Amino acid sequence: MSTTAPAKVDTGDLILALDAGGTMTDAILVKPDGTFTVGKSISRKEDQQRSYRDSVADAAQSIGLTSEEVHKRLAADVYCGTGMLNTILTGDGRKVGLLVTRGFEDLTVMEGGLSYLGQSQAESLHQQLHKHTRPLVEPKNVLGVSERIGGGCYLGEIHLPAGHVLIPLNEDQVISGTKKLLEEGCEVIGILFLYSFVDPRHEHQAKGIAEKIIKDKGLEIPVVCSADVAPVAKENSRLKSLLFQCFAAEQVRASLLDVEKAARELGFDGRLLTLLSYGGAVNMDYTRLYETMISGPVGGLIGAQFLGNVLDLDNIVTADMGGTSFDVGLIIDKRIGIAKSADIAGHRLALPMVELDSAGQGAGSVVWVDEYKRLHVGPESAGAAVGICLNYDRLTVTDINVALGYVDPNYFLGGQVKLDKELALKALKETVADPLGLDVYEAGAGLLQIINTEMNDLLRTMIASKGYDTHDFTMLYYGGAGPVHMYGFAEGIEFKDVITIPWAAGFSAFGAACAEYMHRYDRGTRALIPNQSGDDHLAKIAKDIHTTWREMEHEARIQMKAEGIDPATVTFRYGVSARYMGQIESFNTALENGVMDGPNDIQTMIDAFETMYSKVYPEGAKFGSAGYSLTDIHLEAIADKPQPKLLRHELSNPEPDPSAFVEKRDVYHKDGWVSFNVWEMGELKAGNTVKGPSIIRDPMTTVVIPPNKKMYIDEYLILHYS
Amino acid sequence: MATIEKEVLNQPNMTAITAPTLAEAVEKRDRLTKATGHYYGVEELSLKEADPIRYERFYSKLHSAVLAARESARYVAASPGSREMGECLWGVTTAEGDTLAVSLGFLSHTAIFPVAIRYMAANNYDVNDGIEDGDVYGVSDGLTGGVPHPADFYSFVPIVVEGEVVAWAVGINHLMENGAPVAGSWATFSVDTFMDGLVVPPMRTGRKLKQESWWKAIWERRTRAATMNILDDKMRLAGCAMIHEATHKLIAEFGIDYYKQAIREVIEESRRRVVDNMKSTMVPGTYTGAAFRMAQYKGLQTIWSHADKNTLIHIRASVEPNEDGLKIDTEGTSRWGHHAYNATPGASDAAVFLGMINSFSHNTKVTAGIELAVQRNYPKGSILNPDSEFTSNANPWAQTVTLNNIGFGAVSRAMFSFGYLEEAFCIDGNWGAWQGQGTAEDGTGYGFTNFEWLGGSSRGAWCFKDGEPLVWAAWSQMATIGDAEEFESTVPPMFYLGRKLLPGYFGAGKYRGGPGQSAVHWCVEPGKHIGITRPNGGLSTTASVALGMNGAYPGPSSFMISARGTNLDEVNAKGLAPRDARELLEMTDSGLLKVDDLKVWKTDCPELSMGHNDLFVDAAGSSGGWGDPLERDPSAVIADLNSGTCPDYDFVNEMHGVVAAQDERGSWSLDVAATEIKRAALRQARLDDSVDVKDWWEEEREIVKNAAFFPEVGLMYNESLSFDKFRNEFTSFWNLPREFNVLEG
Amino acid sequence: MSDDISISKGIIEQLVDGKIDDDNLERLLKLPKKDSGRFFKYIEVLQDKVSWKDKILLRLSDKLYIVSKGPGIRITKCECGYEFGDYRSNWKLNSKIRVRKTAEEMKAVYDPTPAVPEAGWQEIREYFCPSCATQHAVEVVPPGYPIVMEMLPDLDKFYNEYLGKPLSDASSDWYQDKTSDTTSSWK
Repeated sequence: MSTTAPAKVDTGDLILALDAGGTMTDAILVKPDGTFTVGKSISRKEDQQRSYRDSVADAAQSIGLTSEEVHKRLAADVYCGTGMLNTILTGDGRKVGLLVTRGFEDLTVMEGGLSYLGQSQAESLHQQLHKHTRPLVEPKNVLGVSERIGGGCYLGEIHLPAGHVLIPLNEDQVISGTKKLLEEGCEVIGILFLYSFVDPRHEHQAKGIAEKIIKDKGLEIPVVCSADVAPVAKENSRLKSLLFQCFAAEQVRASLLDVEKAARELGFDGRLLTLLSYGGAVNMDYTRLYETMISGPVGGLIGAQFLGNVLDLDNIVTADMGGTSFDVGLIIDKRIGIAKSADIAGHRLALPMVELDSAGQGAGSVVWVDEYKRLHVGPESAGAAVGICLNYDRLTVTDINVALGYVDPNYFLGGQVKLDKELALKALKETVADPLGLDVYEAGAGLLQIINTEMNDLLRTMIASKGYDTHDFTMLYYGGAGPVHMYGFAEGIEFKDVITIPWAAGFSAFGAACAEYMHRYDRGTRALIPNQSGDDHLAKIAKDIHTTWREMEHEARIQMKAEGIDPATVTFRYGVSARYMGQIESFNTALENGVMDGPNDIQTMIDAFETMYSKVYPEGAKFGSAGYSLTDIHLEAIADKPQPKLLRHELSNPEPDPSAFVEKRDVYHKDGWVSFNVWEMGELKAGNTVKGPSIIRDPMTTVVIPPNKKMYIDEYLILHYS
Repeated sequence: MATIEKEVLNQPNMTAITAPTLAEAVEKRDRLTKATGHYYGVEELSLKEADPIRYERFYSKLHSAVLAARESARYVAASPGSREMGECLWGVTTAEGDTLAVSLGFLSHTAIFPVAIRYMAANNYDVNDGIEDGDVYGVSDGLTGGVPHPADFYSFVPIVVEGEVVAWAVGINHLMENGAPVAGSWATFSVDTFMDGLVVPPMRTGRKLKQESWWKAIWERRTRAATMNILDDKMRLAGCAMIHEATHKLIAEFGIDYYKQAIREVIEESRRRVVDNMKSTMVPGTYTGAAFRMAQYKGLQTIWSHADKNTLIHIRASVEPNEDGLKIDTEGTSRWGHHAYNATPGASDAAVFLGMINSFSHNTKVTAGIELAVQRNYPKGSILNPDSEFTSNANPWAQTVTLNNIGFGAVSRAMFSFGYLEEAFCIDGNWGAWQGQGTAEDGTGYGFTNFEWLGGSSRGAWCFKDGEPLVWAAWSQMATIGDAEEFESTVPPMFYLGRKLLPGYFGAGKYRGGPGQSAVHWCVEPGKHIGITRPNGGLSTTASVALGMNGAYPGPSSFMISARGTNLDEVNAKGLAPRDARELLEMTDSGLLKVDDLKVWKTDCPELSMGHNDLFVDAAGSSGGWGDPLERDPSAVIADLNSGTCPDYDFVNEMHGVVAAQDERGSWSLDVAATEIKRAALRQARLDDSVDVKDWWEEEREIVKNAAFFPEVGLMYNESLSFDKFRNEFTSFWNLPREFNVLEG
Repeated sequence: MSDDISISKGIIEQLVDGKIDDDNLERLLKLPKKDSGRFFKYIEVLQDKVSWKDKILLRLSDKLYIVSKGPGIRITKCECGYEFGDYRSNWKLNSKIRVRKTAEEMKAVYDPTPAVPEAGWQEIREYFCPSCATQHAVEVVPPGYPIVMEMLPDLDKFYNEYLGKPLSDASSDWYQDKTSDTTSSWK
């Protein structure tokens, strides 16, 4: 499919977005009035076309349309998945060959020694558990090339400047190396040289040579430079980014284009989009496709950002509890927080990635007691088998919710699936209550409290570890199980507000539908700003930033045009990474605009940095007297893409209609039996306030409101918990 | 108590008036613990029993506060070591300094926290000057703070409630430069504490979570990397401030009474678990180990005549699992000397607990509990517990690491015999680093340390498979060597020509150790001057421990090479610069690389002035093997030949008795029949070339009687023989009179 | 989950033979607490491997065992059947020794050259089984260093208190180092 195929952005009145998760593929179909419907199908990794078709069909029929009718009316079609991660995990990617700076041939084996990534403190402490990840390239296919470029030193221009050529590129070694890699049958060649993020000239020179050899041999083998995939400091992380792109991205591109094919066969004539790990949607021709690795969870964060804009919330912490994991994310100043280091499947990438913490605990997580009578939750999960109450052989969190009465066994997925409460109770008694010598309901309540506390702590840590204060945050819960536990997760943490949404289960897919069409551009730099800097020095730096931004804007317009977007409609966001001189960590600093004409604009930039820094660290940690340095200049280019609208509803009176009342149900809540009112989500109206003890049921989820708490439904049908 | 008087004046407060002094608190803690054998006399975990969920919630809050402090604060750092490597740590302790929770990082420092607190208590810091909430104390002295070496800098922040110190927030990191005559973070060739650089006994440097202005001046005037050190200082404080706030909130939430009882139970609970772990995995008995290190000063350090000599340091230790955990006895270890390698009990603990925490704390709460489970004997006067207050503690890690190797190694043997083979591997701790100072062309002065090889090392062979390269760091749970692109930017004129694994650099055995690392640093336009030294980590001039595992060879020594005055421009033009120590030696042998002044350093080098195109090459991180080399699977040997892990066919042919042929494409294939014959021949040679130990003993005994040793060896024996336990072992083994002494050779 | 985990004999055999896969290894390392039944299964696996019938009491190293030769007799024995005598006297004293003293001799076992121990300050001792020539131990020590008794187990304490299965010939005087008895008999 040609990159110039026009994106379908003008006509069409439906938006479709899917999240192909580990167990389910959720589809969200947004109707012209901004309302939407959810569809589901079992995820089929081996046949994503099918799970796509099934899920969309499910969503379509619920509003009386066929899949074809839907596709013909689509304005945008967003598809998130976990395909790339699977390729990395299963190791069935492309055969990669690497050319690296001579003397660094062992880079891929050494991995910088990072052998504990993704481990808990207890695990990394037990060093016998440290291990290297499966290499994404055979060591013998990593060849050295003599060349060296200097990166400058932290004390500034007291020695050779950044970009100084110490050893010119040895072209003969590039030629012989390329030939050897081709002989070895490599399907893609990556190039990583030291400090290419400062000056890519050697990488590009080598790429030219390699491509010529490949062409002369009549082959079609891509050559990828680290400076083009991830032009940022730290060779170990840059290498991983390069490897992900070479090893996995290209073939995942194929399967995504496959899904796009399905969409087109069903009548869609636009481009299928997917999500970047730092937000934003791109089509399947995006160069750095490896950046779309965690598109699923990103969807949720984008949805949260969308809500934030609608409800005017600056800071949001999100908690997504699905079947197998509990993901916590942050929105700061209406922006999706970007993590310092992107660790995935034992690899540390040089990639901006949303702030996302994850615990291997979801509704399907197994609950057990060890011989020290310590309670454990997860990491094993029943996934789609739900628990003993359905067809799994071990006790899960959902079993407990069913056993205690929170979840209606006869209304799971709207009653399509019947759960067995008795089995759940029996298992709870045998696995937990008896070993601990507790009453079965006490045990269940205790377990829920532990789970809630752990999640509660993960939330605190996530926020505290970034140095933020919970009082400045709105807490947003989603995922099938989020609303069931929100009362517990939120306990004891003072948030500005605690909210959830009726369509919590499909929120990640909804978020994908909200994604803006955005490309991010980063460029490493080494600009120093000593305090006594003269205006001419500042002007020089300003000019450099100015030029870089203008180049990025240009590049963005060209790329987006190629993706079928009218360059005139592209808008931009500007930022830099800065630090006190001497620091090695840089801090992402967002700027109001892209104006960088002279010394004053540099001062504005420094002020923005100080403001951001003070938010994270105590007064004692500031160090303005050391001067500042810039390490990265970046830009986000945004194109128009239709967005779902949240409908404003007329507020009716606080009392829910009697029609919304379903029944009274006894629930063992905390330390005793409580009679809860059960309400039907679909029947509740904007303006209603549901007082606890209550449960709001919905085919996709269950919202629990304990005694003395209440849930207010606002004009957008957002549920506010207090 | 000043703080209390103030409170009394402001608002009379009975709790405050009755608050115990630090000294009283420490005395009570010791009395109750000693009397009952349970920490603080806690015989029942009543809070845990009564409401386990609340109890766990209490701890997880305390713990996550400390984890969070690190995750946030480390980004303030200037040194790669703190930011990405494991070279930093935060913790929260009881009023007496007993650890309650620690962050990720170099955990064994937890064992040291009590030393500074107890010093402050014994010297009435709280009574005299008064200790107030949010004060900031700095510590980097080995004797009064237990600090392993002065570059490991500690910050303590007291948490005071109702006039009583109830906890301390602690932050530590490894400074890159600490202002000694020898620049960097290990003052090599230091002969007493006055040459160790910036050494501060516990002293208040700030109030209300903010450093006082004078403190900045200390970093600026007394160290060569002020910017880095000030940022590291701010980093430690930032983390402590977060722990300080979180702990106050915790106490407000649970109440001070719950807090005071819970912290005692937390430590007692983990003590019990650790003891249980030890008793259920270690075969009781006595495990003995030894290690040696040469301190080569003679002719290299001639200014201080009393220190102008070589010392062969002997580390001897036995490990005995028992009812209360296990006992480590280091009697027989060398006496302290006028060199940089003396430890203190604190520094020794920091080493001993590396392996202990790794082995016995990973499935429980990491607290001071484990310190009660390990009884340590560091005889007064030994290098681990000097009877002089002026000894240099500039680089004890260079020898105490072997104390960990011996202790951790004993755990491996004990678990091997018990059948828990999955835990058993050959323990090494062979680190390296380089450091120095320089002056740029424009006159700017700077100091630096590149401790990439402190970030990780290979793992020794397991008892069932080969060790892996660069996969752990004995002294930190976070193996990470950082990035060349970062370290290079901290030393203006030095550039990497190689940073890789060193082929063949490991102990051989049925299973081999993982190969160690080697880097080539190239000096380009040094400016006015650059001088480099190397604190030779791990062991030097000998294997990393004296005993191989079950017939294998222990990990080889770390070393470095200086190549000054080279024809590097020609070599670079050919694109053939040396990439590691082995290549450098091969290229100088072949004449491809011409070097005016080539030196191999197996112990610390004095400052080396580097000129344009000079090279500085190091090797570290090697590890030992496991089992008889002749038992090695021949196909594994072939694989190592083909991957280049073992570059020397003749070597493996003799070591493993493997015969192989190489095809024109350079790949090796096994000759099964010839291998069997070769192995049989090597076995026969073993019997032919060896003698009965009895015969050897008789000859060797004459040498011992006549002390026909190198002088360093004789001096080593004399020092160790001054401790009865070793004297008994030595004289009874050689069947010599009890009063025997080795004459200085 | 609340009962003691049990590890199959097959897994233990894989460990002993160096055939264990990484997943099983990780499982073993991640056990919340070690399986208490390990020791006797381990001994079974080892007993199956040796050609002789003497009861293995403990595995000292890859191919060295402490075995019972009947009441009151506990000796160190090589997998090949060679007997080193009373386990309380360092078995090394009844083995054969080869000592590498010169740099040349040491180069054969360490590589590259700078990694070789310093002759005169160190020597490398290799201890062989006089019968099968297995290299049971290596010492890298200064000349004159007493041969190291690497491990003296307290067998009775182990069997009584740790395993709860006292040995028939248990007695208080087993746990002592008798090495010097041997050397004193030499001169």
